[in-house]
Amino acid sequence: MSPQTIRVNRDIQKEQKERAANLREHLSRQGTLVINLVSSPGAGKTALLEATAKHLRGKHRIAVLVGDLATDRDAQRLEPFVPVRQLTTGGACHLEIDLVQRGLDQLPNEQYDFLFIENVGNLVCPASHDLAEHVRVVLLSTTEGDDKPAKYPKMFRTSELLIITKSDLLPHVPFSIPNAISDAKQVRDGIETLTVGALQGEGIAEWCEWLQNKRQEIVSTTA
Amino acid sequence: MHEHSLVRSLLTQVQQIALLNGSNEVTDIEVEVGPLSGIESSLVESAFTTLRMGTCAETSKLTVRHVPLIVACQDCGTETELECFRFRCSECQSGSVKVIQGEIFRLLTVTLAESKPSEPTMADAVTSATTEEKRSGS
Ligand SMILES: Nc1nc2c(ncn2[C@@H]2O[C@H](COP(=O)(O)OP(=O)(O)OP(=O)(O)O)[C@@H](O)[C@H]2O)c(=O)[nH]1
Ligand SMILES: [Mg+2]
Ligand SMILES: [Zn+2]
Repeated sequence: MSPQTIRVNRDIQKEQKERAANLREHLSRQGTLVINLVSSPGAGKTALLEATAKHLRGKHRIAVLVGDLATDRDAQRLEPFVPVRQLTTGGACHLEIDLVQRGLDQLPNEQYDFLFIENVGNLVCPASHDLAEHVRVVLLSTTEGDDKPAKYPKMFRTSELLIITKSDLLPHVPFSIPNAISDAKQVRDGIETLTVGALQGEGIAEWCEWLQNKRQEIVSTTA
Repeated sequence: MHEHSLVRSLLTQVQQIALLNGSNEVTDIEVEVGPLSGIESSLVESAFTTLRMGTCAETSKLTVRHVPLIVACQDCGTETELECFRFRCSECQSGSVKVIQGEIFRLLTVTLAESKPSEPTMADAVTSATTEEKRSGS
């Protein structure tokens, strides 16, 4: 009847991480590269996806899952170009693996080359949730300041690629690309970087090429 | 703020452990957080105070242990405790380092008010699975 202390010593997210790892492996075998797009609100995730979908149309099968607190506006924007499902979080500030799994079940049952997940705009919580992505890509827009990598280290630490967006606005805002990149490299030495302007189409071809190379590298070897 | 969903998951696991050990009252819960866990401990505590109601942990005490961020150099093997988020080896300045402590939100211990000594505990099964996990961060 005396008190008993049980040593558990377990990651509280262990089960979710295992589910994500299993889904990732399953999608690798199908030849699908999963990309988790993260950023602060309004950095240009949906605009980048619109440009990407137009660029890859006819060359690759792609699909999008888009997270949003309450609306389906992003899904409406993407619908003309690509199969898309809205993941409404009901107020939660990030996506979790079970929501992604449910969204995937609702997409037309095809083998996609690329599955994009647009996360909820937030540089904090989404950093802690594995959504079965092969690559996490963080967007930083020229209008939000080049100090974000230093302020939100976990997000930049866990992202493989940094895309600086809204390049067309560079002449109008105090944003230094070298500063942003050097701060990002403090938290992740090997982080790759690209610059895009989705509205004008600048850098979209390079980004799509990066995606195709990444898919070759990750998915084709496991398929 | 995702602490709510993490604490909900914590409480589910605590309840499972209590059940498996034949107890319906938890007195103490110890968790570990680090600088890269992505957790605000004050938010964890307030979520805990709300969510424990109606569970076997309703009157339990939560202790949050803070651990420093430690990285291991992939080039020379040195372990460095980081005081800021500058991910470099203190010995050779390499940026190729792996986090080995301080990025996980971990359940450390659960203390039960009473238990039947004959019942098997979950402790062994769970501990063996986690020694390895401790080193598997990115
Ligand atoms: N000037 C300029 N504006 C852009 C560019 N890309 C996006 N925008 C604008 O920035 C605003 C936000 O873009 P979205 O694509 O909705 O951003 P988001 O990251 O999807 O936003 P949330 O989903 O709400 O987090 C819109 O008004 C876009 O038209 C760009 O390359 N240049
Ligand atoms: Mg959007
Ligand atoms: Zn070193």
